[in-house]
Amino acid sequence: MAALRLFARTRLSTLVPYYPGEDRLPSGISPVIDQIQKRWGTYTSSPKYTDPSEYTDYEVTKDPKEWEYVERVLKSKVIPAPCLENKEYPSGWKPPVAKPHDYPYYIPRTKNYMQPVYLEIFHRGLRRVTIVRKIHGDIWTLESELKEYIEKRVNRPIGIRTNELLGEIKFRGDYVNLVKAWMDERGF
Amino acid sequence: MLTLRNIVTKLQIHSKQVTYCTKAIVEQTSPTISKRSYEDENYFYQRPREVWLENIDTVERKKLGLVFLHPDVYAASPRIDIIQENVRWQRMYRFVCYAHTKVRSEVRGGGRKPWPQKGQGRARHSSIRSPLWRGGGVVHGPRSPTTHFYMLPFYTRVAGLTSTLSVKLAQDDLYIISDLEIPSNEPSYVEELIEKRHWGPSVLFVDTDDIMPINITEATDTIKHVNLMPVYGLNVYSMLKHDTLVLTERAARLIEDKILYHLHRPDSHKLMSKFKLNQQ
Repeated sequence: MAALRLFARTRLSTLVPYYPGEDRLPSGISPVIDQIQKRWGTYTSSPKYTDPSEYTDYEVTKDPKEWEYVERVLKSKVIPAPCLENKEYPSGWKPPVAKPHDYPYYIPRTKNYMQPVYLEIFHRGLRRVTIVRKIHGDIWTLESELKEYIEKRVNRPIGIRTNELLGEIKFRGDYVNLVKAWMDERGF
Repeated sequence: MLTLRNIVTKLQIHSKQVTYCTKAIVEQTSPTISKRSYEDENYFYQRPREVWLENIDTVERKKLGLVFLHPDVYAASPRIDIIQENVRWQRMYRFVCYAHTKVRSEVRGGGRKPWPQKGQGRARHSSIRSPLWRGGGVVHGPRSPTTHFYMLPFYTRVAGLTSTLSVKLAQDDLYIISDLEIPSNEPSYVEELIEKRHWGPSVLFVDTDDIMPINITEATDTIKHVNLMPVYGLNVYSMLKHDTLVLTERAARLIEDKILYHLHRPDSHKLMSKFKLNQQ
């Protein structure tokens, strides 16, 4: 910070120590400092764009064909839709196959085209909770079916918390892969 | 001169009436079906919400068509907890508490030791303004000004808007009109309109721009419970404060566009970081 303040001085003379031979301000009068502080942390304090001749040449065009190349560089405003064709993908990702009213319940994909199943770890890694979100329709049927599926595979009863208003089910324990496998079977 | 003016005004009135009639006939023959295609429409569990498109240029209600609205925005889960969080945030972030008490150093006097430390048989005291004394300073009292500014997480604010819009629509408190043009600038016209449509008593009209038609601006100027608002000012508190929310069709579409953009934008992680006052 101190270094920044030193560089922020506009005149070097204020930094140079006083030598008796030089013409300097009489002692007792402090030197005039034009600028006390300059914020270098922001680009707004850099000099403004003035003369276009100093920069690369450009011409203004309104050709829609050329604009396509610009659009390719611009950031997309939505997440681009992946190929939703139902086949094997190297990543293991599966497209949603189920239609909204195939089952009494429905779980749409997230905006990233992923399944809304998450693992939450808290209490210093002592508790693991699997969360299934974005559930529409009959959440209680879904809960009982998932419960049966998971309990069959882990051979023990599991704690479940269902919130109908939020459309969310929480399983006590890490069953993310089991839930995802179940969803893949159904095509969610 | 007077007669000439009379003739001119009468002509104007007649010409207006004529155009008005033709307009009405045209609208009757072709109802507008305002429907959009969405990228995720194959994955809707709920069907798009259907709302009548109404007019306000006559007191009588005319159904001009039907508007289909995105279920993620207008049929969201009625999260009253999120609505309450939003209302609390809107009340608190602008609230500055001016309650103030003085600490012992600020209370006048008390510089002198009231009596010697030892020998009097009395409790030791160093100042008459000590918090133990009556009329002394206050410990941990309210200090002015206390700001209560905080930011609600971005997506809680978005969910507040969708929840409130959905609740309003589900409770039959949201209406969609074609535009804000009314034939008269009399407040009585707006009052009659609201009475006839069973709206209100308090009504919030929302349009895309902040420059509204002159007639409705003049007519609602003196009625304090009927307000106009642009889309950029729409908020949970105002929607709840007014009994009825009346959107123009383009306003409803703009709200939908903006909220859907935020629900699907790829750079949402930036919005979810901590809010800093100096966001350079």
